[in-house]
Amino acid sequence: MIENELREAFARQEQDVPDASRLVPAIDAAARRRRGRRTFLRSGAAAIAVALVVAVPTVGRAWLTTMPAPTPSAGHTAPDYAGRALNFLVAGVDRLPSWSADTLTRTDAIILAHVPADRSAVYLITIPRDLEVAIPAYPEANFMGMRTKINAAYAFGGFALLAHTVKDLTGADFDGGAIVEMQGLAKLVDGLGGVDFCVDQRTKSIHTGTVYDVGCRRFAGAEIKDYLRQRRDLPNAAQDRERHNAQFVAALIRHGISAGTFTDLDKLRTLYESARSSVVVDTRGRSPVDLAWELRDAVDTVVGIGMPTRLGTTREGDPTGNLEPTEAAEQLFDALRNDTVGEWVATNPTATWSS
Amino acid sequence: MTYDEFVAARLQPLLRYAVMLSGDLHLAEDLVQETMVRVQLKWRRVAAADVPEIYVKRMLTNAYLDWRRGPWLRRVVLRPDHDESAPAMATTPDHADAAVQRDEVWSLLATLPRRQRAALVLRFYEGLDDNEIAAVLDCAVGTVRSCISRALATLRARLSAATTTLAMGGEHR
Repeated sequence: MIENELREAFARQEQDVPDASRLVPAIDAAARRRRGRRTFLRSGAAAIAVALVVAVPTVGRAWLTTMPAPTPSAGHTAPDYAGRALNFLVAGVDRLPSWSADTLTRTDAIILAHVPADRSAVYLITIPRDLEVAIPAYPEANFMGMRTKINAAYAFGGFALLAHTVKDLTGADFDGGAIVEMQGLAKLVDGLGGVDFCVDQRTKSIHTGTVYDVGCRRFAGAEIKDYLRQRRDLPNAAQDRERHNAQFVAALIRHGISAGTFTDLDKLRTLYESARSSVVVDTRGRSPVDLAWELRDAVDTVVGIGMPTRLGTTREGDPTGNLEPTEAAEQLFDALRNDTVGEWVATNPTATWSS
Repeated sequence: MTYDEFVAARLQPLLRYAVMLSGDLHLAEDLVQETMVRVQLKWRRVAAADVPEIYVKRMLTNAYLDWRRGPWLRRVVLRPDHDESAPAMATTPDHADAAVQRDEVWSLLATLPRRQRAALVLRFYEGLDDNEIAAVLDCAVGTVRSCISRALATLRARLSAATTTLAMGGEHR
């Protein structure tokens, strides 16, 4: 009897319980803030990316191998590179030595390296860090997905989530990837005996005060690291820095060609030893040396492409501070999938630079 | 199951459960919010549980049982704007109301130890069996049974006392 009265009392109260969905925004906001406390430290300095996927053979690491497989059946077998276009994702991150190991960082440079099936060129497509994208949910890292700047993807879910995000954006399947850490990059460049590099706009370092004048010369490791970090004093800020980073990738590839690295196993091994402290490369099970050989023709022509973007606006027309892809960018993504990037470059000369 | 699917399916029942448990809408909302924040941050672990729903119910129940002891509930800062049109939960008996005896049971629940109240809610509102209740309360099945029978005995005694008082006052029809 008392049991029935209890049931009835609960049933009466039940009718007065309001809709719970109004709690959702508060839950999400609180979770975001708490997750943010856990993971975010602002990456103050700039960073860099190097498509050493094509130049430097190094070992894959477990945290890279969770990238989306190029084909569902890829499984444990090495992907077959022959006769098709290839895509590689390169992320540049700038971790400071004082940061603890579990401090996640953002990517300051995101480069999609595309090689068409005919191996006629290497296209380095720079994806702006301020690009607003839908970062997909990534339960492995307790990330529920959100729309924000693309450079947060790495902080939320590491390289794997960045790869998912760029795949969602462009439709490109990745055959490999590389993470380049700014720390140690100087060592890499010094190990190569410096790299010949062209400065395309006068740049004053806000970190060291050094002024880099327009022109080509050989750069030492510390100089290149400093130059590639600069963003704040440049007229187009991050966009200029992204172009500089891609130019450096091109310079590295050029260096590899002129030094005969692509056709000399001993030189490849030496480069590998000097790069392993600053670069993590995953070629999805295939030997990086094989890959370098596969790309020996393509690397003669390196074409840089800045992904065309415009400033995003809210529904009310106010600027959001983020970038969004233009029509031309959508056409570029189509070209990536259809292996017609060469044609896209021909019709969009202003978005490209060549080395 | 994704977190979003869990929210879509289970958030409303969870809020109802929290209301029955705490008897207070504001506390219930805080309990649900704090629990769901933890669920979101630890979703992988929650989803890996045998029955995620029971796991979450256990988190919320522990939060309720601990809320005076533990400091974490105090960290809740965000609370949705209160909907003025939402009816207030009856937490105190209104002696002028004809429904007074009806809601006597509800208000008497607040006088029980929390653990006993939780056991009653799990049995008579959620309809769980002894084993499931033991899983939520993290105790032995025998403890669940004694908990419930003791709670019912207390309620019966207090209810009859209250009824007698009301009858003597002539307000009870």
